[in-house]
Amino acid sequence: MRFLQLSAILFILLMLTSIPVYAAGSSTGANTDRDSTSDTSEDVEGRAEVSGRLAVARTRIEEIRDAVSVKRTELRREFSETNCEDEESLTRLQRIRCRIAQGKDYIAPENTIPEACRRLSDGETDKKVNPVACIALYKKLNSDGCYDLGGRDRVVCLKKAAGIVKDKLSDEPLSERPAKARKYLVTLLYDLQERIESLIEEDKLSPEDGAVLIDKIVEIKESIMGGATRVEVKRMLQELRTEWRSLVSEAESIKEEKDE
Amino acid sequence: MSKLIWVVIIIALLIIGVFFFFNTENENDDPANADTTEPSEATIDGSQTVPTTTLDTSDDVFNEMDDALNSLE
Repeated sequence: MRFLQLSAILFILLMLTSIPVYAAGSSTGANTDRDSTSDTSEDVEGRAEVSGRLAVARTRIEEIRDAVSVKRTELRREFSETNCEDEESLTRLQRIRCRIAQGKDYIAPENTIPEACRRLSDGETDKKVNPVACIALYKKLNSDGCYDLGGRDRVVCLKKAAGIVKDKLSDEPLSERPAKARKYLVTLLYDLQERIESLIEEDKLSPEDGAVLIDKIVEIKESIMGGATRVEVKRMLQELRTEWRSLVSEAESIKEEKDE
Repeated sequence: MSKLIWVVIIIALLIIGVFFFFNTENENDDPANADTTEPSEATIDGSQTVPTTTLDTSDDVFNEMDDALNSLE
């Protein structure tokens, strides 16, 4: 009997001393249910504000899509019977507009030289640059399907096409670094071009704006492959980034809202 | 008296068990303790490396170009 009494007293004492320990654990973050389920008036107001903003954004998206769809139809009508590779009667911008207009129906004739490789010339001497390396780079990118990949696989694929075997470009041998950097820059510009084409296909970006940007991208790629200096390339990329922000950022945000 | 010692030992073990149970549960709940190690992948030269960018956004692409620019002559 005495043993039972002592046991009971000991058990009660131990239970009493263990309760504060558990309580301390709960208040320091172990139990977050209360925070996540409580519904204050601020939460309700916040949700109403967000849904209001979403409704406005959706209306804007519909407006943009309708306008872009009309422009695409007009452009398609304009270039429906045109040979997009006709260099004599079409400027580079017109050829790009033509390809965009024909969209998925456009099939480049066999052995078509990529637009960025057609008029390569040394910026200083104006001497013609052999387009073989440029054409080979495009072939490699397409055969490896780099732009069908996502995430890190795409980065690895682009670097591989540019001949970069190390983790960082700065780890490559000094003598090979500039040539590899040029090729890598071209692959990244091609990446931007692919993004523009996707946005146009999804009726999120005007085909006219897209064509202007792609024309600019092609011009930069020509300069890079033609041997433009770092300062020149930097200036061109800054201009492109500014134009990108004014023309593409809104279209990209449509994409993000849809994805969310 | 020996029974009392056994009772004290068992209860002490129970308390230690309860303490470790809650401690482990808290650690599992804390996302800061989660394993965030990126999966490594082999590059073309066979070395294990993780690209620093994923080119998810156009900003990523522009930033990557800025980095590549530094290697131009």
